[in-house]
Amino acid sequence: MIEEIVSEEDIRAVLQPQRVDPGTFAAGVRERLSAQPEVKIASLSPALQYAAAILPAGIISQKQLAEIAGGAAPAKGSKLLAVLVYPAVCFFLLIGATLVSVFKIRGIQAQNLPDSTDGKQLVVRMKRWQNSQGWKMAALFVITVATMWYGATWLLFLGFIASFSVLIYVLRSLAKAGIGNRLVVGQSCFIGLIPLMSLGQIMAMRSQGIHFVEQSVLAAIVFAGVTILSGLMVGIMPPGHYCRGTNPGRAAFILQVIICVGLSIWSLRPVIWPVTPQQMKDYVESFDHTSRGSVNAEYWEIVAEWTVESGLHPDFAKPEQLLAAEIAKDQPNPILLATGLRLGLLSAAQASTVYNYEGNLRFLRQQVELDRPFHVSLLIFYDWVIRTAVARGDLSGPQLDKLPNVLQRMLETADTAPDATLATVLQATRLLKVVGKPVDPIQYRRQVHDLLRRFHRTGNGGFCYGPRESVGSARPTAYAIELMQIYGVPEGLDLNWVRSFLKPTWTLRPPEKYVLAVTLDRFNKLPGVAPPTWREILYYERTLLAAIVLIGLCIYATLLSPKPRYVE
Amino acid sequence: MELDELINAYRGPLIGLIAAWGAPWHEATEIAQDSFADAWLNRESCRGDWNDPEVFGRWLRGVALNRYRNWSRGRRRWFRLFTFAAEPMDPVDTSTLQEVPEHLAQLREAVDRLPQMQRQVILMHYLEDTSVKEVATLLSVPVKTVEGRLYQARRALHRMITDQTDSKTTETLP
Repeated sequence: MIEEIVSEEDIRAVLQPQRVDPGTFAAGVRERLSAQPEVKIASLSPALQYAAAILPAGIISQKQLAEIAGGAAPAKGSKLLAVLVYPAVCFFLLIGATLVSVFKIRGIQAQNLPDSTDGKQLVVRMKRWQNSQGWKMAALFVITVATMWYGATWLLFLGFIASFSVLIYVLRSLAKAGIGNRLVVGQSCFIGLIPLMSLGQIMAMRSQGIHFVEQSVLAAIVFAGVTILSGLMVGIMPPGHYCRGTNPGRAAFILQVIICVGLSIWSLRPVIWPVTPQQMKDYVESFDHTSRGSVNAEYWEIVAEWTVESGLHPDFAKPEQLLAAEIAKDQPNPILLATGLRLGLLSAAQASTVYNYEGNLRFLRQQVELDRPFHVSLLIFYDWVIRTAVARGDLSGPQLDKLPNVLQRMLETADTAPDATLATVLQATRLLKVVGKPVDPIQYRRQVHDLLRRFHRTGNGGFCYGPRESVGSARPTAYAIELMQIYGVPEGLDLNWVRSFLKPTWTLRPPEKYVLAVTLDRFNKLPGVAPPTWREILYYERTLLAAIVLIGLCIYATLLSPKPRYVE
Repeated sequence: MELDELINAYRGPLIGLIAAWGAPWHEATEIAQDSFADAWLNRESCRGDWNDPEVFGRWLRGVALNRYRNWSRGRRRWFRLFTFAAEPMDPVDTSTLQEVPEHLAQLREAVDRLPQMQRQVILMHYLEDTSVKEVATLLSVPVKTVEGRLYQARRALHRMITDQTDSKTTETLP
C-alpha cells in the first residue's frame, strides 16, 4: 500500500512568497560586515601575544593561538608579561574555565548532540593546557596555601592584585582588538574568587594578627563581589543554555542574592547589631547563675559593675533574691557572696548569718597571724569573710594591722610569685581599700606592669588566666584593664593587640560578649589610649583592603571583556 | 570557503530554521543576515576548521540561536512594558496580493500546525530547495533523520488537509 503524501511542488508553492532575493540578502550581510572591523591578533604586540597565549580556552580561540604560535621569533623580555599574569590566570581563569567547560560538556550531553565536538575539544585543550603547565600550577597552589598558613594572606592578595592588574592590561588590549569573552572571564573570576577568599578568611581568622574589624567582613565582601559578578553575567547568559526553555542564570542569580545577603548579614551580626547598654542592663537584671555557677557570677559582676558605673540603674531585685536564697544554703557559694558584698547587694550583717561563718573567721584569723602572703585560693574563697569581718569589726587590732601587710606583700611579689594572677592582684588591691589602706599606684606600678606584660598574649591579643596559657580570655582581660585603670598602661604593651582582642566577633556568645563590650568601653576611656590612626587601620586591615581591590579588579576585568556573541 | 558559497549553502535553511523557531519571516531574514555577518567576522573563534562547511554550519546555527534569543528576549521585554497595547500586525501590501488556490491556503495553515520538528525541516528544505545535507548540518542530526522527518511531515500535511476537507464536506451536507 502506498501512503498518500503532499506533493513537494505544493509545499514549494506555499513557501515561494517567503523566498528572499539572494543578491539582496548577500548585500545585507556585506553591509553588516563592513560596519564592523575584523579581528587581527597579529596586530598585537609580541608581549601581549605571549600573555594571550597562556589564557585558557574560551577567552582566546584555537586559531588565534595558532596565529600566535606561528608568529615571529620572540623579542627579549616579551615573555615577561606572560610570567606576570600567570598567577592570576592559574587561580582565576583556569579554574573557572575548567569548570565552565565541564558544565558546557554536560549541557551538550543533555541536549543529545553527539556530533558536536566543540565541548570535547574544549576539554582536550584544557587538559593539554593543564599538562603543559601542571607543575607550575601545583607550585602556585602550594605557595598560595603556604603563604596563607603563615599568616601572610595580605601579601598573597597583593601578589594576586599585581598579577591581576597585568592581566587586566592584557584583557583590555585583547578587548580593544575584539578578543575575549565576558561570560568566561566573569565565570572564571567568580569561581576563582570563592575558594581564594574562603581560604583567605579561614586563614585570616587563624592568623591571629591585629584586626580592628571582624574578619567575617571578608566573607561579606566576597559575597557582595560574587553577587555583582553574577549580576553582570546574568545579562549576557543566553536563556535556556543549560536547561531547556528556562533561564538558569536569572533564577540562580535571585537565589544567590538571597543566600549571599543572608550569609552577609549572618557574618556581619556583630557589626550590624553591636551590644547595647540596654542588652547589658537586661542581662544584669535577669541574672541566673545556676547554669555555670561561680564563673557566671564573675562575668555577671563585671557587667553589673559597669551598668552601675554608667548610671543605667539596673534593678537588682532578682539577683538579691538569688543571694538571699544562697545565704540560706548550708554551703553557700563563696564567689557569689563576695560578688554580692562587692556590689553592695549583701550587707555584712546578712553575710555573717551564713552557716559556718564563725569557722571561716577562725581560719582567717589563723592565716593573718601567720603574717605571710595568702595562698591564691584563700584570697578567692575568703574574700567575703575578710569583707564581712572588717565591716563587723570581727578582727582584733593586731590582726587588722597585719592584714594590709599580707595583702601588700602579695602586690610586692606580683611580678615574681609563681601563683600570682591578674585576678588575685586586682582582688588584693580592692581588699586593701576595704581594710582602709588604699594602694599607692606608684609603689606597685612596676610589679603590676611586669605582671600585665607577662600575662599578655600576642596569640590573640588578650590576657590569660595563668602563665602557662597561650591565648588570652575575656575575664582576665577585663581584670587587666581594671588594673590599668588603677596602675596605668604599661610601657611596651602594644595596645592595638588589646583593641584587636576586644573587637566584637561573631563567635562570641553572652556573657563573654558583654564582658568584652564592657572592657572595650573601659579600655577606650583609659588615660593615654587613643583610637587607632587611619594609617594603623589601613595597615592592619590590609587583607580586607586587598580583598576589596581584588574583587574590584575581577569586576573590572569582566566588564572590559567583550560580550560573547555565541556560547555554542 | 568563500562567504558567498556559505551564504548560498545555508541561506534558505537558516531563514527557515529561524522562522520555525518563531520569528516572523521578515525578522527571520534580518536575524539570518546578522548571523552570517557575526559568524564570518568571528570565524576564528569557531572551535574547529571553519573551512569545513559542516563545522561552519554548526557554528552558524549557534550564532543564529543566540541572535534569535536576543531578539526574542528584547521582544518579550517590549511586550511586558506595553502589555496594554495589542501586537501590531505586519503591514500588507495589497497590490501584490494574488488569488491563492484553496488547497494551497489549506496547506499553508497545515504547515503552521505541524509539530515543531517536522515544521522545521519543511521550512528549511523547501524554502529554497536546499539539499537535505545542509539541513542536517544545521540541525546537527544525521541526513536520514531529516529525510524521515520530511516524509513524516508530508504525510501529516496530507492527513490534516484530508481531514479538513472531509469536515467541510460534512458541514455542507443537507
